[in-house]
Amino acid sequence: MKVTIDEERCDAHGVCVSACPEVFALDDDEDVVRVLDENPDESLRESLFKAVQGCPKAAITVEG
Amino acid sequence: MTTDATAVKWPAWEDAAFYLQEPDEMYASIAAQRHAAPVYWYEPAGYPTGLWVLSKWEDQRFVGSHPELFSSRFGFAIGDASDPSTVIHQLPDWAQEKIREGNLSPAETRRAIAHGKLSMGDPNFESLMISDPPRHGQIRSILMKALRPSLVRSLKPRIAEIADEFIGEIEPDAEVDFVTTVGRIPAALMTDLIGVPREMRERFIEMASAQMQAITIDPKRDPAEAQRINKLVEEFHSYCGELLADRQDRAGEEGDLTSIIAGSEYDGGPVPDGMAISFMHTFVNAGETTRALLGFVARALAEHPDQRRLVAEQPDLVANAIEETLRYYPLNWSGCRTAIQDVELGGQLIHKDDYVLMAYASANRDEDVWDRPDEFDVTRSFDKDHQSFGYGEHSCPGALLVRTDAGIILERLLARFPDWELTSEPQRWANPFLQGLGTVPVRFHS
Repeated sequence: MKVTIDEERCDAHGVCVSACPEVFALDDDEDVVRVLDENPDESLRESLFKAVQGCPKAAITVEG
Repeated sequence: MTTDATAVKWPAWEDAAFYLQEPDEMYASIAAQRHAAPVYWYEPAGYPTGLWVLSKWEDQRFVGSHPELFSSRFGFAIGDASDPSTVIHQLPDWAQEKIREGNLSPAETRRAIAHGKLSMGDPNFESLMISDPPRHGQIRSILMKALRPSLVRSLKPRIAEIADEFIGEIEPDAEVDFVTTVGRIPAALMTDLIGVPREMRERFIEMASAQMQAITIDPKRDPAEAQRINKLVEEFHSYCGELLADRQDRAGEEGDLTSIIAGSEYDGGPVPDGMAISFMHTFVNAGETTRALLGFVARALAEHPDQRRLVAEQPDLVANAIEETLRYYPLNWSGCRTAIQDVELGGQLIHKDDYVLMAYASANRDEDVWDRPDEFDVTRSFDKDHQSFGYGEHSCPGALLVRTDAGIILERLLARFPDWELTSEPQRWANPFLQGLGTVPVRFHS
């Protein structure tokens, strides 16, 4: 799987961080979510899906 | 509860009276349509053309994430599709002329109405609400400098301080109006952040509320009321203009939100006045939205005392209680887009230029997304987001601020008063775009 974030869209709501902390991170002083792992393990598919579904800005893309 | 779908009247999405029914009645009507016709061609009485009503969460998410298929340029609210002759008097001269000249397609007419009502009289006004990518992103990025997440999160101690100050003034065991006590906290915060002096606070909020009314086109609005609104909007415009000019002169030394906008650039020059003022309106609107939301929080937690006790005992649930209130009592009923090519959705062919209404209030009760959708449950999972702030490019830029603000205020309130009751029915208001509570009479127990 390949994970990307549209940084222009991201409003740093942090929903993805709660859904999938293995892949996304955000500190209080940051304005764009960081992708910790662009090619996460298959076992994270379900929580990644939650992150995609939960993002209010439709800013996350998962390919593969 | 079982409802015979054929016996239930389907929603009159364009009519304020529909939204003022008892919630159970209204949601039964919305559910009947969602079950029988999730993508429905609706022809509102008195409207020049029909529009599509999307009731399902999934379909609304599709539209929200595809601005290249569904444009915001040709209106964003149901009222924008009104028969122009019924709303033309609410528009500035240039928009009236454009409509009177004729030759406009239905989509162009909606644009003239939406653009006219947002423009504050300036035909060159560029609006965040009725723009598409990439323009939309450019405009939004200026606004988001002022509403950036790191800044919003840094406000937490300040919000708590203001909240404690206002909550400290509430007399226990006396009947008070929630809206004019706790509900004043967000406006106090926002006007401080904007840089409005204390003595101007109430007047500023009054002007800003008029601006909010002005962007909601309602053919049934009384002409005297429309005139009062227009006058206040003009005043709002000139007051914001003065504040912006002052901050430009002082080159950002005030450190407030107005300074951030005054110091920003658009297309290589200063942010145009109209756009800057619309941003200031967005700020104060975030405060008004939080106030409206808190009114519903007060109501929902009074109606569900077991849930209130749960949140009071487990402050970790505060954020969830805010989300559940947003889902259960959405402030914004719906949002609209225009198809820019033929698109098939839910087995229906939506034609180019057709107007599409995303019924957020329906998606928030969609059985395919929510277990027991008609129950208020603060422990509910929000793996999937409700639609109350919209979705995608155009989702509410103030959402994080509203959530943060409301969350801290509720937490501080529960710490001081874990127990309150409604002393009489809250007074509701609604138009076809928004709802709120005029008063929420409560008694906080000592």
